[in-house]
Amino acid sequence: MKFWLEYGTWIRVVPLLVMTLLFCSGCWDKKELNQLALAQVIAIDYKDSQYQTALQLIIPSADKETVTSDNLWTMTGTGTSVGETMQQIALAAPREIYLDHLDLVILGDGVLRHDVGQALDYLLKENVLRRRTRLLAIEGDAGKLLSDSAELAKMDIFYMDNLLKDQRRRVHSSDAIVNAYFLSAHNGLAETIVIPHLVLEEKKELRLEGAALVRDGALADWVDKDWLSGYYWTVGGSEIVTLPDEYGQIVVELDKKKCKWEIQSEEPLQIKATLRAVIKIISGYDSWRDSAEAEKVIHSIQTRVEEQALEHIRDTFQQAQKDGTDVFHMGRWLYAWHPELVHADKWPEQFAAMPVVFEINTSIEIQ
Amino acid sequence: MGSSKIISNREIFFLVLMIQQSGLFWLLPYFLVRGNGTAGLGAVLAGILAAICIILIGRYWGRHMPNMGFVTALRQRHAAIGTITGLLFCLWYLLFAVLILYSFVDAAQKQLLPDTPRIVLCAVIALLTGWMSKGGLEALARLNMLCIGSIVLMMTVSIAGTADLFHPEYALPIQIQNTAQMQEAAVHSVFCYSSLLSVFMLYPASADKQTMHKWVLAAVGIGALSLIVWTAYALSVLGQYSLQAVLWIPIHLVRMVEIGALIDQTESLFMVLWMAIVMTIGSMFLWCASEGVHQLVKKQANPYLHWGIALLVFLGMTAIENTMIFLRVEAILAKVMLFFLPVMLGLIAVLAMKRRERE
Repeated sequence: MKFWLEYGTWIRVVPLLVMTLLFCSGCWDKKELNQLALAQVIAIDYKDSQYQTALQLIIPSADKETVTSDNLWTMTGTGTSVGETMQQIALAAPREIYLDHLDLVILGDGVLRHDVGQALDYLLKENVLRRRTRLLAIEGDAGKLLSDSAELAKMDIFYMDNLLKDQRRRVHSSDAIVNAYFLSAHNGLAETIVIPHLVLEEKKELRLEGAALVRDGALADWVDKDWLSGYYWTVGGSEIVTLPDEYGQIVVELDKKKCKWEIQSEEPLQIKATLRAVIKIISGYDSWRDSAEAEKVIHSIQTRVEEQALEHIRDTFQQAQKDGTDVFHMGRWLYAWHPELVHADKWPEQFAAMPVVFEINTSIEIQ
Repeated sequence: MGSSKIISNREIFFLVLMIQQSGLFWLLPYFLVRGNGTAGLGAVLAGILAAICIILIGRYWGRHMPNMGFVTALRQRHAAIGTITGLLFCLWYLLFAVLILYSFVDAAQKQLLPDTPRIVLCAVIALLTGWMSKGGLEALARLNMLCIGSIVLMMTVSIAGTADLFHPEYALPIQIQNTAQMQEAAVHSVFCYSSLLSVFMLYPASADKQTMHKWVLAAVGIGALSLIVWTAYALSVLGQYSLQAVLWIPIHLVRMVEIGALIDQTESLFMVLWMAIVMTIGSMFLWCASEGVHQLVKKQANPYLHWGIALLVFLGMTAIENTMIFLRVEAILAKVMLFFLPVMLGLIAVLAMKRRERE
């Protein structure tokens, strides 16, 4: 039996072996799950000219399939940039930090007032902000949510994630929020993004209430849920409303469509906004549905919803004009289709004085 | 080498179409939209004009050249000028191979393999392309036909996955804001389309030289249309303002795609498909360079010569240390091309004319 290969065969085999080694190039970047600390939430604050970052990490164990509180670590870092804080955390972390599964980015009051763009720059460059990554705003320290009330946070972050997923299903515009940040960045059109406001109530309960308005990378205003209700009439979304009525409590689902902007007159510039929605009566109709008054009740519900909607949207619009926050992206719309009517550098002033006529067009159905 | 093989015009059509999907063409949107947004897409016209010139002169050459390799034919017209022209062409093909393959190495390392040493990636790519191009043009053309499906799949997934983010007003208004950058975009566009100089190497392999230019023109037309539509779509999803600083726009767009709840890192899939495209086109340029050098030194299917060229591609890739150097090299070559292209095309036309006069 011949054990030794021919010279010519060696010439073919050796390069083949070298090539085989080279094709294992992916091994340099192999990721073993039990050698990773998976970052799920990042909370960013800015205080005394320093960034403070808290990172919630899942440390998977090889012998357990489920994640318990033992697998959840919260690590913090302080530095002059988010990158520096992340480096600090990486040096102290027991495993390699894996940011690709980041679900939530919680921005504290300080960062919102300082510069959101600078705070997010590191995450953007690392390509870890994806469509499923949610931005949240919190009044006060964001890091405290993860560190001080750790037990609560560990439990509720999963809950928060589900809450946000639900919001994403209901509000049409929320899934483009990270992308919208780029779009609104310093284009002179006062474009403003709406970041859901996270409220920690007496260290017991986490909930979403209202939003933070961020314009040109900094906080412009905090708004409440009524403001949001008006806002959803322009961007679309669904909302459940209870209407007290002489026939009992009637619950309706408002399926709001994206509003239609039109130019009513060019000189002076006047815009017409047509709000559109389908009103679905979900419950509270048993007592009158088959009666002779059904038509009258339905008409009354429709009128009431329309009146409320107009009131909300007018309030929302007036506040936006007062704050100089074009959350409706009206400037972008006008600049795109009628650039001659918009002076990009003077749009905030133009927007603040812009007369807008609202019209509403709804249809109603019983589910 | 595979120069003796004949390929159909349909295969040439797909090769030219695929050239327009290679790394340099995917870098082009960055130069186009920078500073001028959607209006910058107009600079593609300069490249298309250059492409038409190349195709028409290629057609003139094809009609008056005998059935022999491009460089061999050049040398037959005028030994000295022909040799220098042939050498310059070979060098140009080599540079294109280096740039196209490096563009993939750069994007792959940034997106997928940050810890893998660049030299290893360059070695793998150079070895693979060396091996693929050794199979000859016919094998490359067949492989390329298979890759077309992956392009269509990739575009469909990218568009379907981001359709909910499509807002035409993001890409409007179409206004030229920076004429200097418009001119720069036009220079880069000419440079990208100058990759069609490979058509001269393809002519001898064409089964029907009389109609080949029509197929190439059709491929350029479809490729340009797809480039414009693709970039305009990316602008409508990501916005004119946000794309000013994004180098690899297609990857940025694909990153927005989420397939279900689990597969969200779709760029990995994209990179695999892109690898197939880049390898085929990189191999084609390596084949052009190798085939040209073979004709220059009057050798046939010399493995040392072929692997020597592949080694040069590897060294060229490793010499480019980072993206900044890559962009600088690309910018220099784009400016050089503005002079190189008319001179080379002029020389080819003159040499073809001499042949015609002799006839």
